[in-house]
Order: sequence, then structure tokens, then C-alpha cells
Amino acid sequence: MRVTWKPDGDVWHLGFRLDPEDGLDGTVTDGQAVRLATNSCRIQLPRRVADVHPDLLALAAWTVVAPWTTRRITFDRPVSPDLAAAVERGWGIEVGPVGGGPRAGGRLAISYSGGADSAAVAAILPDSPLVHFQRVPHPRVPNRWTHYRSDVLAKLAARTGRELTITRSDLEFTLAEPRPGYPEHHAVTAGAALMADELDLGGLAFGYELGSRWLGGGRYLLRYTPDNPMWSGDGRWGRLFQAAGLPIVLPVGGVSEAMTMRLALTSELRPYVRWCLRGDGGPCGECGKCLYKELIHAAVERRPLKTAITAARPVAAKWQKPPPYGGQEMIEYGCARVPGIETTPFGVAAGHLGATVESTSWLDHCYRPALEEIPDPWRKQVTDFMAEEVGFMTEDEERRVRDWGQA
Amino acid sequence: MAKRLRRAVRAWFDARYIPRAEHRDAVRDILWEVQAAGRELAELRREVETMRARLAKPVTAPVTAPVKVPDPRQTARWDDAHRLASETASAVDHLLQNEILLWQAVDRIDLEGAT
Ligand SMILES: [Zn+2]
Repeated sequence: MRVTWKPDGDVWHLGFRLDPEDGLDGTVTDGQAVRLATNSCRIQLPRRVADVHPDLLALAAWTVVAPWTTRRITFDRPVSPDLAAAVERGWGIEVGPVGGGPRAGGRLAISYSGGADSAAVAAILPDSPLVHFQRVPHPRVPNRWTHYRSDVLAKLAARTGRELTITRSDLEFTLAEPRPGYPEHHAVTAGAALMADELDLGGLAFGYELGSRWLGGGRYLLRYTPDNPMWSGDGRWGRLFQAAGLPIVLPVGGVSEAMTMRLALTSELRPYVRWCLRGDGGPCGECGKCLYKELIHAAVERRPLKTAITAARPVAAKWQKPPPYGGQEMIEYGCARVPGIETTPFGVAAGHLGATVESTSWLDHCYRPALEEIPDPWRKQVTDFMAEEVGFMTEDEERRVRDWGQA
Repeated sequence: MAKRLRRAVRAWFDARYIPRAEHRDAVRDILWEVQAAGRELAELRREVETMRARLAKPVTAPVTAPVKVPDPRQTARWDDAHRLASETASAVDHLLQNEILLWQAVDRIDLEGAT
């Protein structure tokens, strides 16, 4: 794979060419098979930036082309030996050219999507700037996904009143299959990486919570994943971001989605939280994600489920089957807490799971090893917040995390 | 129809990535989804047919206000425009992918010429 960056005012154009051994089919770090749509994309920054460190350009490019790179990556400017080593060690890919020094920065920015998880991170770090990725159409790729209202999220992010940097990109359209989306989950940071020198960034905080980081995330069902390749500090991506002077920070890596929901909805950001982009004036209430989030929301508020979705609807089909389920810890949590769960689309699941408030109370507390992963400059702030607002898991509760899926 | 089913199946896949061991369950789930989508589709089709029939029939009941009935020729044109848009979009997909492979082939020739 060979990549080229061309700046044009505030827009950075990324082009890439396949080496003889590369093909249109690739695999994402989480195991998802993907197919390439086109070999160019662009990132529009809020303003023209003087210069971007080659390691940042390489990092941003790698989040796009990694799935299709099989043997070697050739950047258009020399990258630092540390960055090259991180790619070589993490992926077994040859990197060139190599030369020049590493970069470093000072501030921690939040990769802010507008969902409950990243809003919780913003509540934990009230002084950290937000960086938001906004999807824009690709000039060459037909857009079949006009219902995806990325402009709504950008507007909501602006209303938070926080220091905000919006980067616009069509990089999701480099993916033909399974659908437009981030080629690697980390591509959401491509714009932030290009702005990192300009904003003096020395770390990037994400809203990945306990389930995504430690309980299998999107990759595995019912599996404890201390060595999560996407989000662990010592995973391949963790080491790469570290090498680019932008270590991955997961402030909510130790708490469940119930806690991030509670933290987000009790914060000043509540009016701006949005997890579904299908609806016009708010969440659509019709999709699988709305149903799942409503279960958590109802559980946090200890109230009955508010949904028009019935068990017969396709989006509710998976809950009519026996477990395991993706995000099962939250299904257990919700089934144990929502009054009248039997008559909801989760009634069958609740019967299978037999979860109780006691059996799921570990999800009300913070898993301490997640805090140990947070780099020094920010660990104390997050730890103090968790001590104050959430509380820590007991030894027994921590064992529930480590034994997840084993029982 | 195939598109709608594909979308349903894809949406299901998008919703959860699963290791190989779970594939048998996954296939059962997909079948369930496909059947559900099929039922939905049949329903939709019935609705469309009812609507078409209603449009084709002249309005016999006395009406107080003039009812605007879309011209069947016009609805046919809409259908045709939709078909053309879908076909064009997927043609463009293939064009772009072929372009990537074409550049790859060009680069390979350059590479071989250089050595
Ligand atoms: Zn929705």
C-alpha cells in the first residue's frame, strides 16, 4: 500500500494505491470483513494548518488503509522509528520511509460522537476540548444513506458550549461493504490526528466503556478481553497512538453503559445526547439501537420500558432467542431492573437470563484495572471522579469481569 | 425484494460480529430475520397492489373536493427513475473498484519496467 497526502487549503486529500499483493477485500481489527469502494478520501479541517507531523499523517492514513494492507506500507514522508516499529510489531507490516523524530503534545481531547458514552467522558473531563468527526458525502461514491443525519450531531455538539473542533470527512465511503463506515474504528480520529499539533494534543479520550473494552466489545460474545487489540493500552492500536504522541485514554473503560448513561443524563450535556441518527427531531424509536438504549435508559431510571416495538418486529428478533447476546451484561442489567419486563420485547430474554439486581450490581461500579490503563497526567482526575460519582468494584465484583462468559 | 432482504440480513450482521463458533446460531437467526422480512415484504406488496388498484379505478363515490389521482404513466416514470438510479449507483461502485485495480495493474507494469 502506498499513501499520499495532498493539502489544499483547509482540505487534506488522501490517495492510496494497492501494492501487487493487496486486494479489494480486507479485514478490520475486530474481525469484520470489508470491501474497498474507492481509493481516495478527504478531511476538511476547521482551518488551514501550517504543517502536520508526518507521524500524525501516517496515523490518520493507517486508520483508513490498514484493512487492505498485506505486506508493506509506503508513506509519502518519513515517519519516526517509533511509529514504524509500532506498525511493524502490531501488524507485521513493513514500514517506510523511516526518519525524523517523534512528536509530543500536552492536552487531552475527547473524541466526541454525541452519544451517551462520549457525553459521559465529557462530563468527567469538563475542561477538555471536544473533537467531532462529521460524515460528509464522497464526491465519487453514490450516497445511499441519506437518512444518516450527521449534521444534527455536529449542531448538537456545537450547542454544548464546549471548546469544539469539527472535522469533516468522506473517509467512511472508502468502505463498500458491509456499508459505509469507519474502515477501522480508529478512523474516527483521523481529523483529530491532523489537528493534534495545532491543538497541542497529547492524548485522545474515547467513550468506549466496560463492555467494549473488557467484555468482548463488538468482537467477541461473553469473553473477558484484557488484551483487546483495538482499545487496550498495550494493544497494537494502543501502542501506535502512543508512538504518535496521542495515547488512547478510556475514562469510562471501567464502567458499564448503565453508568455512562446515568453520567450523561445527569450532566449538563443531557439535552445534546443523541444515540440514534435516523429520526428527524430525535431518536427514531424504531431501530435496534433505540430499543437497546431504551432498555438501559429505563433500567437507570427504574421505570417501565417506553417503546412501540413489539416482540414480533425484526429488530426485536434476537431477544426472542436464547442467549448469548451481544452486550449481554446490559441486557441482564436491564431485565433485572425494568418493571414489567415480561411484557416487553425482552420478556423472553429475561426468562432465559434470570438476572437479578444482586447478580448485576457489579455493573454499578468501576473496574479499577481500567483506571490503571489511563496515562499518568489524567489518571488522578478520572479516578477521583469515579470515587466520587460511581464507586469501585469489590474483589468479588472484579472477578465477575474476569470470569465473564465462564460461569 | 432481494435488496430489501439483503439489507435486513446485513443490518443483522452489522448489529453483532460473531466468532465462527456462533455461526450456526447466526444462520438460524438470519433465517428468522429473512422470514420476518419476507412477511413484511408480502404485506407491503399487498398494500402497494391495493393502492395501485385504487388508483386505476375511477373514483365512483361522490366527492366534495377534487381528488388528485396520480397518473399511472407518472408512477411508471417514478418507478423507472428509481430503477435507473439504483442501477447507475451500482454501476458506479464497480467502476470505482475497477479503477483501483487498474491503477494497481499500471503500478505493477511500472514496477516491472523499473527492475
Ligand atoms: Zn433509532
